[in-house]
Amino acid sequence: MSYGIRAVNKDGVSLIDENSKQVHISKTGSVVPGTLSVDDSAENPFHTGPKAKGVIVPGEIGESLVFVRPRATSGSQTAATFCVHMGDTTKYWTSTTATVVGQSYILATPSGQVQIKPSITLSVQAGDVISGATSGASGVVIRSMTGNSSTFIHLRAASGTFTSTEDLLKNGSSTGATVATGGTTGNPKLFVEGIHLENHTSDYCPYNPDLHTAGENFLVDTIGGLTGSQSHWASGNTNQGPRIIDIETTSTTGVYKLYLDGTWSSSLPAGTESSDIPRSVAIFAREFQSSYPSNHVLDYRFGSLDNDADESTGYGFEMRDANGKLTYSSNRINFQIESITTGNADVVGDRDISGGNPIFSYEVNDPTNYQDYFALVASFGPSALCLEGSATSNTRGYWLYSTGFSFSPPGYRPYDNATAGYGLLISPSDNKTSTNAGGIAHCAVCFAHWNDSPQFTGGSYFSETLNHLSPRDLIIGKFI
Amino acid sequence: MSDYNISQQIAYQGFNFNSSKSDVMNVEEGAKIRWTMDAEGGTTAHSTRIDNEYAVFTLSNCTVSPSSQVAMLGCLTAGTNHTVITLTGSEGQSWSAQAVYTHFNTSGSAEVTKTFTVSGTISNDLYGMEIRDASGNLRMSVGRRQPRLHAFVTGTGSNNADQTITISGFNTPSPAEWHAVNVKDGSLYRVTQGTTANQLTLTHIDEDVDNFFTLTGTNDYELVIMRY
Repeated sequence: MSYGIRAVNKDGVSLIDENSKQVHISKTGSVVPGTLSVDDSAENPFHTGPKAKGVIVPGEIGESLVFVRPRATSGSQTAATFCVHMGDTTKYWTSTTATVVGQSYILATPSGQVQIKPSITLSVQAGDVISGATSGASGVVIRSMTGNSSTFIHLRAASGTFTSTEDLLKNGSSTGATVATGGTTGNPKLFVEGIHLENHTSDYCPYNPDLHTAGENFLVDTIGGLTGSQSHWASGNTNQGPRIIDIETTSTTGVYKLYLDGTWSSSLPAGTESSDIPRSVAIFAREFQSSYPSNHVLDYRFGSLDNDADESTGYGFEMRDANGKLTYSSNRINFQIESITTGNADVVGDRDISGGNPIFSYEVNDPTNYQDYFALVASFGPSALCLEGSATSNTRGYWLYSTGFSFSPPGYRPYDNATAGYGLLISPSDNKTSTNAGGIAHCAVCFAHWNDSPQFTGGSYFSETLNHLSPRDLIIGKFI
Repeated sequence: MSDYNISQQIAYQGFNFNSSKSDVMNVEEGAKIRWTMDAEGGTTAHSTRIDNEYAVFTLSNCTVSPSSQVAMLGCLTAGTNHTVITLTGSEGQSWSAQAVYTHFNTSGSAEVTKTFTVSGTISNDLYGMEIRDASGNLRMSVGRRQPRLHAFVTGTGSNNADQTITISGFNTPSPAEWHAVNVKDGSLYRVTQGTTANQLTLTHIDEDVDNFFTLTGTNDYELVIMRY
């Protein structure tokens, strides 16, 4: 080290130096972990409860840290088991008015909408299928609404592109309504929307979250969560491909004012489409066979490592590197790691794991403030697929596992191996009867199961695993 | 949050006998030490003879919390598998914490003891600066550990082969201060830290190892580098 300050503790361990970075929390929120079902849901007896929704990961794709904790919104905190998947979704925008040279905004509608011809009213219910008589484009209405000159009908699971002035059908029947004329009022293109798992077992079990039912949205976020990066219009601006940096609603339902980081150097006609906006989503799923505690939510915090100062406090202690970047601030709320525990949480080879339980845990040092603890999510997505065959259909099936978490506040026990990873065959004696410790486990979580599988001779099985030779890390700490 | 950790092990070979383990820690006034004890060192075997057996503490110039139902690591228990020592004495005083477990030997024919002791002299040979936030929370002290996130490294491996990743400062001055984890969903790489300065190895997970097939994965990686 040739410049700056380096703090070293009494054991010679560096505390801060010119290379230090801090966690910048850019998004917080709460969600109820839901079900991740399977394509053949009719075969899945455990396809119950609300489906898992996606939360838009802020910032650039692939550079965010995810911190999680269960939290009771009323009553006492109980044990909760869940897992986290990464996925993706896309969105794009279509301008509704021509752009003006020198302006740094554009009025636009997001994909997944269709505007009805002015002066025509069309009332729809959630679940109605709206289609174009000539284009064949179609989509399912998200919620009950009335479409007219100022209201867009919001669709999901849409495909194709509606054409201007074509007749609209509702559930296959003529409505008398037509699509608004493009070029002046906008004519949003449509495409299939939804959330998709980043990693899925396509080889043997085509698997992805089911399409959401009518009235449900597939994202926790509002449309505003889909702005902030990576959206580019093709041309017509001083900076080729300006980014959307902010969004406002307007007095017209379905039309948004998008602020860009550049200005328009030429006018674009109404109806100009942006390129796709790919975004990562985090999907929080519960263990498939047990409900997430009804009085609980899952708090999430997205963070990144950076050297950007975002504190405005006029006192305290700061360190900066040679480029003036912040390396340490006493005002920054940081993730203070209490423990890094390494172990194995992967199902290996058999759904009967009596030879070794894929779970390891940590007892927190401060159980009286158990609710303050977060875990840094260090493993996402499916980790194992097990298939058990049998001549008797009701005992065969697929099991999909992830390496998730089980939070067990004082008084609860699932951070041992008896309850976490439910669905595994575990020795019933290998659990705690009660405890005054606060435990957090990294464990195998069976997040999906269905019975439809090839028939093997009795007791046969095979398994696919990911990272079965890899240690996993349980990283626990507090934000202070 | 504890300032120090100590994990004491007694080798499993001594399970059927009276055995003990002692360590010395000269730390500052008020220090908190997370203390775990294990009578089955060096083996994955577990004897139920020590399940639900709890420590009897003898303490001098310190307290432990919890002080009851503290079991050894890996044991079935109605309590905890650890406790936290807090020093209560003043600089220059000696302190000690002793935990004695009594349990039957593997045959059940006799009772034996396991004794764990941590002791030392309270030493405030600290100097330097403490930093606190506006609420008085200690943000940095020369007497404390401060695990922190150091860097985030992303990339894509090639040729389904192991990759060497260069990270300035990594493993220096000691690998014990560093840790790295790959958080990429479905990544076919796992971290092998090694001991070489400024680098780690990403080990590719081969398919069909030990007759287990791997799921379809990705060669992308996203590494979180931690220092503590």
